[in-house]
Amino acid sequence: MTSIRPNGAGGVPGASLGAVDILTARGLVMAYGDGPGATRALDGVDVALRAGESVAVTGPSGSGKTTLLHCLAGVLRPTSGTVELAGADLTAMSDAHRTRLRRSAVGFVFQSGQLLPELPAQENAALPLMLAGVDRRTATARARELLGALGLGGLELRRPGQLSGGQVQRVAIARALVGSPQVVFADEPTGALDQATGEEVLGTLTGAARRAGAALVVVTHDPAVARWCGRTLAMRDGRVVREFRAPAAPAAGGGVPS
Amino acid sequence: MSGALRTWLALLRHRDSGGHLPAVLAVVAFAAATWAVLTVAGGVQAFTGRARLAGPESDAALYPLLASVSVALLVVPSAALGGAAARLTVARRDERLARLRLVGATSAQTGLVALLDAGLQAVAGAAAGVVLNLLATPAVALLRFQGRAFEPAELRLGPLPVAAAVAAVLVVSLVSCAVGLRRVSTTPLGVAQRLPVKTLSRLRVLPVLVVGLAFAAAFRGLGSLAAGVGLGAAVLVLAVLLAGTFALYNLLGPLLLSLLGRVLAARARSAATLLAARRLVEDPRGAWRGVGGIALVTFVAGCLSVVPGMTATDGGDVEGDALLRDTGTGALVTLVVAAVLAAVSTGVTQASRVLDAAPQHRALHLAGADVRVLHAARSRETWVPLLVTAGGAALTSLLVVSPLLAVLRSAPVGVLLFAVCAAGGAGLVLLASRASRPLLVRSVDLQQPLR
Repeated sequence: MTSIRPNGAGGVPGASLGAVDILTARGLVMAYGDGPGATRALDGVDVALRAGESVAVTGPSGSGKTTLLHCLAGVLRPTSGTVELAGADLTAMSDAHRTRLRRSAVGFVFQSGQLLPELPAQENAALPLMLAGVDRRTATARARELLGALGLGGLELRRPGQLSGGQVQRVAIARALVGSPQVVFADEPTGALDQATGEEVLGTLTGAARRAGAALVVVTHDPAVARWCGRTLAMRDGRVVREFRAPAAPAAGGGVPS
Repeated sequence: MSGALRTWLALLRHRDSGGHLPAVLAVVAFAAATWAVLTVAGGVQAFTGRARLAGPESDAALYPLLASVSVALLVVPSAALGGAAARLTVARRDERLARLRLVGATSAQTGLVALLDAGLQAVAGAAAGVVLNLLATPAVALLRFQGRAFEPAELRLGPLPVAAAVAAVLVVSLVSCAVGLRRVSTTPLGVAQRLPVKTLSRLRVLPVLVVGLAFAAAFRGLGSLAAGVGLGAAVLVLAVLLAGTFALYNLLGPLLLSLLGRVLAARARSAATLLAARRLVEDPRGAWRGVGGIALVTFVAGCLSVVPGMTATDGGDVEGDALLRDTGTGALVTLVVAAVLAAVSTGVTQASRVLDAAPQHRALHLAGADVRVLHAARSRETWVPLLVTAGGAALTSLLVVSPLLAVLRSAPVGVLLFAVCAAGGAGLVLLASRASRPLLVRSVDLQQPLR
């Protein structure tokens, strides 16, 4: 069973972490500066995430949600606490080791500016596999397959500048999933889109991650985004203050070939 | 207009630290372009002075014309570098301009702010170039032409030519900035939309054919032309045609690099090669600025590498031998200046690309891309076109002079000197590309707050 131990109201103090969790974080503290002027972006956060589960992290600006995402993904090393991804302790690893692990186990989707403008969609999507040493033909074939499944068939040779905002985000989703990651992290993935396109992209993202068997963590300031995820963590001042489950997530689109 | 001026002054005072680097790069580029123009113009002035003293019948009369050929060789890369610096100015400030539009500035006012920025940087760079020229003149004066070194006074330009050079740099900067502004449409919504990069037209080949035919016709008729209007005027006609040919060569070069990029992209197996190839296809003009000048001068200097051998084997005409020897020296000096321009151009282009692609590089690094892959892509993006164009030019020039193999064998010093200068120039360009490595490392530093 997946569990969460929020730090404030509605928490379940001392809840045990489940045995099939793909990602667990315990006692995360991220402090900037020393002495009286020091600030804590994270102040004792525990999180556990099951394979295939989707979690939204919401909260106002400065609540620590993006810092939490970066600690969970092994981008930032927390001041104290541990993060285990697929059984490996990220906080005890060298930078190079964490980079290699991110390449094989993690996918990212950002608000914007993540695709290389000079590369066509299929090469942007294939890039993580090529960086991991997969030969170009195989990487491109896998990327094309994913793009087709995400509704971008026929647009594989277009460059990001020739695609709409929603299409660009779908290419980014294909890129995040091409390496069959265990967890996909999305930071405000719909922040640069209009509402209708944002909904469409969220449907694609959650559906594709579920079909690929990847857990999904979506950081957003928009409460409407949270209803696409199975569970929501509300943050304030570096703490998880509330956790709740979505009554029923909207039907997700975007199939991913297994 | 006074509102735009006040805004510009306010922006100038409150520029954040991240905004300094593009400005510094632009100033360095303008300084290098000005230094190159003033150096070759100083040479023309010195040779003209010597020719006046020697009289019209002497070989000295040909030196100013040969120096003009060197000016023609360098003027296009210098102007291209100045233009690139001005465009860098525009590209780096589109966000700032968009914010100005958001608070109510008209597009004329934002345009004026951009032009004032580019103008200020051009003037600052040109002033630095003038100082650099003054400092370097004693070293340039050590070069021996016509059997003796220069007096620094021979090379030092008067205030009028210096002012003209500064004005030319300013004009190139303002015109390029205005053209760049047209390509960056800044909307009041705060979104700076870059228009798609214009693809290269294959029609570029046509003017090359026309000028090539004109050049061949003029060359065939050189004898009768020389008899009709005098050798000086005939050489002048050739110099003008050469300048036209160089300009067209610069039209054709990017097309060649774009083709090279496509071939590489189709065959790339690694991520680094694929990235380098796609960047060549995306911006062949930028890549050409880094290698075009050096390739052309490498070709000319390579063709002249036989000169020491020719002057050593022939021995009858002392003045003619001196002219040939000096032509070879002039070609090597031009090669060195072209290499400096190419290195600055490569450094500016690469640094500006690192700044532009910082979010994408960071996203790639987050996704597990090793920084070494990003370095390798940038390195390939520089050395592959350099090897193909400058290396190709060197080989072609040696093929051209291959009938004179015996001459080369008798005095290999010319070829050796050429090889050292060409390799040194290529090394300088590669070093300039490497110089922006720390910038890339900083831009993907994941411990810095992400935006």
